[in-house]
Amino acid sequence: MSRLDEFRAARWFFGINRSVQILLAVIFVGAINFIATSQFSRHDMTEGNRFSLSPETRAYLRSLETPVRIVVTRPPDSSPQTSRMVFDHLERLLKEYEYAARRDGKSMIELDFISVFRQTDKAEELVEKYGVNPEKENAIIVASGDRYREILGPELYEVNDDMENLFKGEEAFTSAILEVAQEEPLKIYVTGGHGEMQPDSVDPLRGLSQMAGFLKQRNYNWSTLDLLRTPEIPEDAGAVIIPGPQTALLPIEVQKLRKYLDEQNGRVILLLDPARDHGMDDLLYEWGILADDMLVLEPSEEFIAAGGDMLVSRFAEHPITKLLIDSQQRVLFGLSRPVRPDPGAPIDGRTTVIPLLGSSPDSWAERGYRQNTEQRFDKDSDLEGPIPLGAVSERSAATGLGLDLPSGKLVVFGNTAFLSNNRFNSAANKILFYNLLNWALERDSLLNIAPRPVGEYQLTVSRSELGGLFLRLLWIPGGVAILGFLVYLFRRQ
Amino acid sequence: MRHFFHLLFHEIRMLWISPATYVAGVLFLVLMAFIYVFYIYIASSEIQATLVSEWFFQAFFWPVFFMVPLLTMRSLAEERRLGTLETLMTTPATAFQIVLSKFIAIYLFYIGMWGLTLIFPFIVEYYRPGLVEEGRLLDKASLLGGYLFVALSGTLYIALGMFTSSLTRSQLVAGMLCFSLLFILIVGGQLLMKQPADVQWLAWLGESVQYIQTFKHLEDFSRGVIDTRPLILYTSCAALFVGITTITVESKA
Repeated sequence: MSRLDEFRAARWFFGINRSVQILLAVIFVGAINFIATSQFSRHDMTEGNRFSLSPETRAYLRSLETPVRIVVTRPPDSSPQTSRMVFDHLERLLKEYEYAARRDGKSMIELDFISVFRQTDKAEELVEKYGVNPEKENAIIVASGDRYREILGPELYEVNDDMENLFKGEEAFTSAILEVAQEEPLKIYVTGGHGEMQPDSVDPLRGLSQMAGFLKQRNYNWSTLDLLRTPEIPEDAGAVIIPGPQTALLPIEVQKLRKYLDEQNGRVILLLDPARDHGMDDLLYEWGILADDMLVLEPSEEFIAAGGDMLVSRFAEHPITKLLIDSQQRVLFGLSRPVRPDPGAPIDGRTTVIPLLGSSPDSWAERGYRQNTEQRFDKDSDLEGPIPLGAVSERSAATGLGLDLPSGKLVVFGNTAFLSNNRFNSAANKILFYNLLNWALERDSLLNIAPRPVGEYQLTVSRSELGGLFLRLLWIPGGVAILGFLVYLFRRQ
Repeated sequence: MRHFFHLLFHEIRMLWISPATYVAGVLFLVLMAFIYVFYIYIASSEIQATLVSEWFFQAFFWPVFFMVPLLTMRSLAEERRLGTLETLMTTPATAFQIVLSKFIAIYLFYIGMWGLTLIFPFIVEYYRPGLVEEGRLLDKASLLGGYLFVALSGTLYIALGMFTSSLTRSQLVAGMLCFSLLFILIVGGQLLMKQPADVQWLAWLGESVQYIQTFKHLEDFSRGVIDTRPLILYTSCAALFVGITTITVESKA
């Protein structure tokens, strides 16, 4: 072999050697990073761990059995700053969820941030699968298997007494995840047999199919119940809804309800139509509620919707109405009867009755509504506004240990129309119903996650001050420039 | 080790007396001052939930794009062009020591420049007392996280710059190549994710792209959440590029 060939061979050898070294190093670094993607940790250095999830949420996420998908629409760059800010908050929070739900390097929470205008297939899926309005900004869906739940804007923020904006995202997402990931859905019974509104009916005025769909989305199962046919209310009943009976319930049926409320710690949601005999006056009396046979008349234009319905915007402080008060929402009601705490009810320390919502101060409850004359307020027979349109009665059960434990809950509304198909999705009707259900089923107290301040601020600095500020910041580059010049002079010498 | 420190002090001295260093430093600081004041202006125009320091670090790529190529393009390309690299290789110093000394010298300068920006909030407070507190301009978690990210990502960017400098004799080519690679590394992932997700191979790449997305990591760090993933990513890749640069220097000297 000539000397030239030896050199050539050596060069080849070294070349291959180096290539192999580089290749091995790349593989090594790739492997380290591959491991790092699954075995990593995060540390929140902020005061009060502003960006960390509460221990409660983390505990729930660790116990997740089924994967949960969270879809959030990304607002376009042209959308208002508030929308982009909401998205920022959501993105930051959800990343922590994804991290906290990690198991064996894979997260049980799958995040999907969708740009509606670019990812058309995903946008279509949102519309078809989850029924989300495609033009809605910041649409949020939490889904697991067939179950899903939409988180509404008002659920995310609240303003506290100090007028500080609070972000309640963690509470909203954790409860939504719990709802959709729960294996056993709660069962709601809807009574039938007295001309009640039915969950499978699509009738715009007397159908409850919208409500039934809403229940299903939120991991509730519903079933109809004929009180006459069953010996007692089933044990698996989370709540019983009686939506507008057109004829009076028989004493035997009322007795079953009484037993359910008293002995089974039951939850009953009763919706009454005006001018219909419901046969439950005695039961209501025992629970401290009076639903007079009157019709609430609302003369104030301000509280009447364009379609002639009553707009209810007066709410009492209660967990059911808190969200409506905070976000200043209104509920669309149809013809209503008054439902108020019974002034003549027996004094009972265990029962608490709270009127929930009411009509305007100008309204009144008309006793002579069946007469064909012009309706006027009559001080002697009518009730003066504002008129309560719904009330809740809660009873605590005394134990042998001297403790009072929460027992049955009865919610009565003097209106059925607010749940009907044509009104369910209007105004804040859906939110009222959902809060009502959560309160009745004590789902609102499931979580004890404090909302966190958004941490907003605004600097008060004028334009001229900004100019002065910039000039002063230039001290530093100026100093570096002078130092450079001195070094230059020194070197020249 | 003695050779290494000798080389390191030499490199630091060369940077210290080079006019280019001061030009780069002044440009960097003027740009950063402008960015800082710009975000103070934004924070004064409407209510914000994002801290000024978070935005300030979000703009870190502007100086990186010109500073890193400017600082690194000379390091090896110039030595090779002048033939001094071959001379250096004949000394007892190894190629690794040569590369590492240059790397550390540039890195220290880079960190030093960024460190000077920490004075900004203090100047603001001096000029307009109360403003720092109003906008929490000295939020410890955000500053610590942000500077940690700058320090971490700096290792990779400078290693990358040195690598491009080792590939060619021309400073200009090295600088351009460095800029292009930095652009791909910093903005590329972001641009790729903005493509319609219908493209299959993009969806397949999604997870890896997410992992190397600079801005995702930066966002966490700049608000005070420290993640171990970028820690591994930047240091391991920096080590890889320093290693490859050493091999390249050895092979071409």
